[in-house]
Amino acid sequence: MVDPGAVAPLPDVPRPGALPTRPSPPRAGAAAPRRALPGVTPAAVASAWGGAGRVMVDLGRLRGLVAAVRAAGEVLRSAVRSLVWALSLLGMPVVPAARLDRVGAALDAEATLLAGRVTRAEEADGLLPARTPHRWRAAAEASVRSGIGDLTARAAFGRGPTATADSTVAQAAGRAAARLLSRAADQDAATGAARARAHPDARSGRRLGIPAGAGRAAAGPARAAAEHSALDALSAAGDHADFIAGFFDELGPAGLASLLTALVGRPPLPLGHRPTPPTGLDPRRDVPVLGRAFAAYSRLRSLDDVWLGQFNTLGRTDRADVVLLRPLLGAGRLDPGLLDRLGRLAFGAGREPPGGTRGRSARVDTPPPAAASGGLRPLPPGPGRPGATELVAYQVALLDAITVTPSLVAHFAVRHLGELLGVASVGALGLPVRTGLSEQATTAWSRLIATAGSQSIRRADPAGSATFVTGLARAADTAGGSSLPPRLRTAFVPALHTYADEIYDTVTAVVPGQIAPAESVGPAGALRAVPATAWRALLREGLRGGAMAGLLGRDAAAFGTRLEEATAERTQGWNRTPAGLPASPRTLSYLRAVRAQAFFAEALGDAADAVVREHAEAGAEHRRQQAVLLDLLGTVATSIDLRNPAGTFEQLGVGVTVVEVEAMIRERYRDAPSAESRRILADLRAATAAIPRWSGAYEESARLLWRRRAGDPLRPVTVTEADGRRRAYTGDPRQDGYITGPATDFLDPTGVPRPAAAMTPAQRGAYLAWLESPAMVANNDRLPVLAGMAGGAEPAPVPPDRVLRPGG
Amino acid sequence: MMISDGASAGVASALAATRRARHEVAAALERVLAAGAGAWEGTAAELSAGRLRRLAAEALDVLDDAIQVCERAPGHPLGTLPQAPPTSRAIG
Repeated sequence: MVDPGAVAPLPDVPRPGALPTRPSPPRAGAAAPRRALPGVTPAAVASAWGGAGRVMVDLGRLRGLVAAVRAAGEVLRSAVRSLVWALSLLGMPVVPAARLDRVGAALDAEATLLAGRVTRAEEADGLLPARTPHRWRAAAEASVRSGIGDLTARAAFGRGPTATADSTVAQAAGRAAARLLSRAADQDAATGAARARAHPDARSGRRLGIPAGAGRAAAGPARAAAEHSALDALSAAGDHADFIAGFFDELGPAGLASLLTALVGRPPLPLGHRPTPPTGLDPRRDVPVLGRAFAAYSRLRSLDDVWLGQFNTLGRTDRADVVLLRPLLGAGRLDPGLLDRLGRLAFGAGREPPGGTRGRSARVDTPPPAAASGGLRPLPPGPGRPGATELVAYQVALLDAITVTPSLVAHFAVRHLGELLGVASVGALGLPVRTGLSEQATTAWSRLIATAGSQSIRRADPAGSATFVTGLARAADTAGGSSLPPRLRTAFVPALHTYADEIYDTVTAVVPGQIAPAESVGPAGALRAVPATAWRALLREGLRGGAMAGLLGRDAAAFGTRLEEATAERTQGWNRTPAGLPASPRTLSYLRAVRAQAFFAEALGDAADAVVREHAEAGAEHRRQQAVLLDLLGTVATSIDLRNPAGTFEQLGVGVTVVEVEAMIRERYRDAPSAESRRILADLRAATAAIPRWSGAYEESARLLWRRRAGDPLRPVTVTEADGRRRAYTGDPRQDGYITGPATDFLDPTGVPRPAAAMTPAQRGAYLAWLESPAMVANNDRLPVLAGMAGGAEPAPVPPDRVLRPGG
Repeated sequence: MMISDGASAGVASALAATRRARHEVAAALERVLAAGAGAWEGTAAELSAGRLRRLAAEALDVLDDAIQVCERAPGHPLGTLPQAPPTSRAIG
């Protein structure tokens, strides 16, 4: 504990031992900030304020632990039920079950306690990257050792009385530390060639044939000590905003580029290898420190195109040597705006989706058009410049940084989808020349696409996520059956899983098309406007990867089960209506559940066809791949019970991961016959074809009933609503409250419903609600026939479930 | 397999259910211990880990005892018991 008042506010008051020390070169320069700088105890190192002892927390893992403890509590409760049942069966006392129940309660309590820890650490951790615990750990321990933790924390969170004074001091200290670096570079230049003075850069001598680092070698110890001190100070400052702002403001983009060049080094010169000059920089220690600080800086200041234009060691104002940033990208969470700018520099502007939501999502600002069109350019690879490998490594690091930025990832992904699918499919053709994406880039893009479609992004950025999945479906539809890398196909699975309910709701609706006001307009409403064929294409591509195919099948089954359960609950007691009705109020939901599974089965058939086509004329290796994929798809097919979603859900496993699929393909040592899988898939297709396309018949029948209402009036239905009130439905859309005004009036002047395709979303929404209303369901006398056909008395022509694991 | 006696069928299914429960609980607790490794450090972390270990041990004790109770129950056809069915099926 250090009393903030006891610390002299001058940067040059020596306080030996205040900074974390390391046993190498002596410190130089009186400007070295020697006092206990208000650096930050990484807040995830949450000393439970005022609590006993410091706690090192890895947030990600701790969250995992909370989830695991919660899950264990659930399992215990289910075990308690089993135990009660078992013991009662034997006529034994159920005391052990009660004991087990107490253990479960204790586990729950522990989970709550741990969740509290997570919350506290999160509250304290505004700035830190949660995914790089090993990187902050060293700095955190150092700052704890130096005994400045308390002061640090107070200053960092603006809670202390000395916050303002601290701010000025810290900024000055940051500037001093940066000046140390530039002074080191100046000394370097002074001992080097005189001409190099204008360019404080170790490489500037190279053009003249002077060995790089020659000057540095002469200036060695002094420079090393200065660099060492500067980075030490930055490390001790941790995430202190003012220190970081001062440091990078003083350093400037060109200074940072020089520092990174020295830190990471460039490929060897044409003149050959030379011994590395002594330096105070240690990439393993300093890159994480610098990266974390730079990430914080990127959020403090807007690093715009002007800044990026100066980010090079050539003294230019229009070239961004972005590749130099690579080591920093993984060390902290960069500002989404900067990442967006870097993404545009690296991958071009891409294509904005129609009706995109730019600006709606937080903190993604569009660069000015002038800068986007010309002016700023990345430095191309060349002699003494980063090579193609380094460029790819930078792109991968950039993609990974975007992947972990929730507010950006969906926007970025949808912008580049079209190009990505195009380029990737060219690459997957296996042409003799190197085209398309490298393997690392494909994997990085796959991670990005998978993340953009995930549940967590849907929660973090609902609009962006919906735009992404809409764009993905349309892109997959446009790309047709092109040959994409399997990993990229598998990356579609999260999106399909996340939006399963919306997808199946759309494809099983009585009338297709966008509706309002269910989700109103906007990106979420645009989901409804995606045609069923696009969803089918996306599902086909997702299934073609072979991985997690079971999961997608379970989604279809789960949708049906949930729909039927919800309808059963909503229509409870409706069957008691006197003078029985021709149709059960639950028939419609049953038909929709069956349709959801049939839709999945159709896509499964499409995927199998595509696999067969793709590999038809290929060699043995491809036949092995084909056999594995067909086996996987066939395994899913055997588990589908088209007429019973709940049964499907129980029978079907989630499937294997893409890594396992690849391993299976590698391990196949012979051509396995795929005839059995093909037969199963063909059977499923036949079974699917037997299920009628009922939605057209249903709609037609409802229109007929409405047209004949004069001669043959609809029978009113009285039901008990969920709130207990009884309500009568007459079948008249006006009387039943479906048409509330001109906006929702779907009838034409003659009183006949307009064609569904010609309706506005609001009218279509009202029309759909009317079609599904109790009176229309109850009076629709074609419904029992349709349900009978879908249910089918004959046994489903799908063979009983069997496990078709390749080689098993 | 033939189970002629209603009582022994009851014992068998009770035993199977208890064994399955033990298997599932053991797996869940394994996951907890695995997740706990390296998640956090400090005195509080050690205390919490100790509590979790104790709870795990107690839960498994209770279930082991219950299995023994089932095995000792009258009507238990020793040595001919069916194994508990696998809890989950790996399927592609």
